[in-house]
Amino acid sequence: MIEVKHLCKYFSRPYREAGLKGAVKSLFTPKKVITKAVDDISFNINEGEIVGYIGANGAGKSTTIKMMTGILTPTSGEVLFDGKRPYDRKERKTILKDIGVVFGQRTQLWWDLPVQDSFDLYRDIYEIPPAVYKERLAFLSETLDLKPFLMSQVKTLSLGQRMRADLAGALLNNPKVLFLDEPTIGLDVLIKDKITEAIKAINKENKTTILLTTHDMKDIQNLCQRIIIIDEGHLLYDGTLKDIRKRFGDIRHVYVLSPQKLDFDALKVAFPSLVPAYLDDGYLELSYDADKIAPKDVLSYVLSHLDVKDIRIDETTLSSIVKKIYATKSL
Amino acid sequence: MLRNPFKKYKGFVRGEFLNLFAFRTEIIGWVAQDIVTLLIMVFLWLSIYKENANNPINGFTYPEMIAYLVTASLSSQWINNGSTFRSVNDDITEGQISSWLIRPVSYRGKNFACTLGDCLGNFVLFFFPLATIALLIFTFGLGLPFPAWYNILFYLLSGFLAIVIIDSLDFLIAQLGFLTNSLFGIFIIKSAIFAFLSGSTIPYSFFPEWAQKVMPYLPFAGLSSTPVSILLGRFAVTDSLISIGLSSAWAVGLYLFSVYANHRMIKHVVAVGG
Amino acid sequence: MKKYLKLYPHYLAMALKSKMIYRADWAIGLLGLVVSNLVTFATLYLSTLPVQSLGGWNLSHIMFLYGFLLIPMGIDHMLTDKLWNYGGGLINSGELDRILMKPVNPLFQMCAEYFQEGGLGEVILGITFMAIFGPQISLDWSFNVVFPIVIGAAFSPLIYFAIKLWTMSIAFYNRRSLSIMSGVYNIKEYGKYPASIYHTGNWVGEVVYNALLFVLPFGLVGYLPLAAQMFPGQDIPFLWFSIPSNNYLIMGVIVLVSVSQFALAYLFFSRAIRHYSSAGA
Repeated sequence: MIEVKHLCKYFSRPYREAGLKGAVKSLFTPKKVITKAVDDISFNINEGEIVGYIGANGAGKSTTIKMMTGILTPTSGEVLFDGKRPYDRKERKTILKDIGVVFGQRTQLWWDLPVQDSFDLYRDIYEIPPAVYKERLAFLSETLDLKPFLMSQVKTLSLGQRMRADLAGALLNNPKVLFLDEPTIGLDVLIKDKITEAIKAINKENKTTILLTTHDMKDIQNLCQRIIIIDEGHLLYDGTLKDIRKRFGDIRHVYVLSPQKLDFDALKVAFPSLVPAYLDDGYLELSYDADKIAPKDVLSYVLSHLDVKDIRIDETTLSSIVKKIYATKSL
Repeated sequence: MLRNPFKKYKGFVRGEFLNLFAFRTEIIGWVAQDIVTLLIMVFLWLSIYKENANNPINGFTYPEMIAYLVTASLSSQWINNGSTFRSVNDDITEGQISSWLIRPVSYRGKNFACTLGDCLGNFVLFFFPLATIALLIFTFGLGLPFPAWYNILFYLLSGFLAIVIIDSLDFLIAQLGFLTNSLFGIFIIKSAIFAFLSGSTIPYSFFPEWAQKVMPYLPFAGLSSTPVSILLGRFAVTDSLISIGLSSAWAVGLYLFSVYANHRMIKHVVAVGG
Repeated sequence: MKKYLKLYPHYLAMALKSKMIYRADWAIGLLGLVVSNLVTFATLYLSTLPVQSLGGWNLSHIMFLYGFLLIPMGIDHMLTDKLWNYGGGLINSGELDRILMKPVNPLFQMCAEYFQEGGLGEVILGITFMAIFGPQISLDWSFNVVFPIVIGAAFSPLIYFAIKLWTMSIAFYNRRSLSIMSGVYNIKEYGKYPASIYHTGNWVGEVVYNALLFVLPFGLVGYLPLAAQMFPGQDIPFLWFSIPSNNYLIMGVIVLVSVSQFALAYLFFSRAIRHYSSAGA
């Protein structure tokens, strides 16, 4: 069980003005600037949860993760893994054995050697008994389809292969908690699916708690039951996907292409809460709350009033919800 | 017309120059290192000369020896500090050469310009203050004659030629980066050999007889022995001019050769793909 | 502890395997340090040649000392060279994060992941020099002489390691400490000369002499044990007293100094990592 309590991290950086004068000035009298990377964040994560951690670049995601993995010590507040603090020198030893981390942008495997070699080293580092190791390797190899490249040098792997290898490496020691930092960045759709399926399978099989930071909303929708949104160091939202939709209402968008123009005034009379708009590409967008209006009513109105050439119905994407949350900075 | 082609390189020169201000501790570190090295050098030679009852050895008195080694060391601060080797090496290992080909500057020229920036920066930041101090100590502390004005000019000219030579050699040797990954090893070999053969660790007069005849004709002489000897007034004017002439020949020859190598390298890169 | 004994060979095997893939690079690395040392050797030789002796030591003694020194230096070089990369800026690149996340001592990882073949070259060169100049000097080869010298030499790589360690740790505070690292490390070059040359009667010399023996004990590694040998019966001046030239006593001094230097360096390293944890990259 992970507890994050009033976590704060402030950085102080030297501040240097541009150009030659600034360079000389900073040589003699450096100024400091304080950045509040994480400002009073609190949340709890239970065993077996898959949580999505969303934020713009620089919002403080990596900083939070670093504090949770014990690489960074908080300025104030604390992080507790079953009561132990990961950044405390003594307490972290046992915690480290139960954590796995995957960095999307960097590999943790040895660059020049075959994947298998790095795995063997991990076996020794985490002191995994040989029988357990063998079984684990077989399971991960199967789930992530590692066989084709297990004996290849890491530097020869494609991004998708490398990511799977890194994921397997992080899971060899059967960690209680898995941190995934942008694990699907730059990957093509097929591989992304493979990986998310694998993650789901692993979570189901081992009850691994997973914290996923990503910009990819599809991944979040596929994997996470719960999302936490942070921005500029503050917590904006912490709750399930279902709740967030409910809060924003179940908005549907109907996109209609027609040579005729719709009479908005008449529309307003029929559906007062419906929001019409013409888009740049010529499509008419009709947004309505699915709780208030039935789709068949909207559709029959449109079809009877316009010569419809093309029609499309979408629900509000998670990304637009998140965009709106950022825009209003509140919920 | 002549100004414009160089204008675009000015940005590189300036950039490297500014980079040097970036790390304060770096600067302190290098300065402290030099002071300690200097101290220990002083003692070593004091001891050696004591063995010889303080008589001159191989044409150097103790003060002259110290002056030589210190000047050589200070000179290498600004002559021997180009970025070309490291820069070309980085570009090769990271496959960045092709990205430079798109830009409107010559790859060889850009490297040379950066080196000039580094050297200029080092000259102003390190050499000038330290040399001034050293000069005062030599003139008033050790009683050595102040360098003649023409020797100072020759020294600067010789130093500039040395920069060209080193930069060209660095560029050529860095090409080995295509063949091997261990440029660091090559860097060590190159630095050690250049330092030794240029007479900066010990003057040529200490070399065996046969070596002394050959050294002045090699490009390495121009890197340290020539400029330092000129500045310290160890060469008569005619000798100075001859040495500078030799240096110029090497400088021009090596630079042209490096331009040719650049051309070949670009061809190779374009064919193979970075 | 047992875990590290098991882990190290595994790391070493992987480091070697990584290297072996680039055979040319391996050879060049080896050659690089050999050449660099040969040049220093040549300089030393040519400087001393006109006078044939230095500080009471004659040319053969000096060259033998040089060879002897190369061995602990080379050993340290082989095993701890990655620290240079860290001092040179690797600390900021996220490599450290990867290391901190493993349940293995960070310093261990930083050293074990890399094997510098150049160090091996230095060891071989050192043995060669000793073989060439050894017969030219009259050294007592009895057990009571060789044993303490060997033990002392076994501990002295710790001194180089310690100095590298604390100078590198400065990088945790200052991003890069390469200049300091190489600056201090360069002083070792002057441990290659017999330290007695600094006894020139003035206070600066005395300070340097003592610094070389005690503070940055490069002088301890080669000079002290050999001095005891070259001039048996003569006491070696140290700070305000002198060390009787008893081989076992000197061995004790070397062991004591190397272990304590390393312990201090490691303490500083631990603090520096803690600082990294609070200040971030």
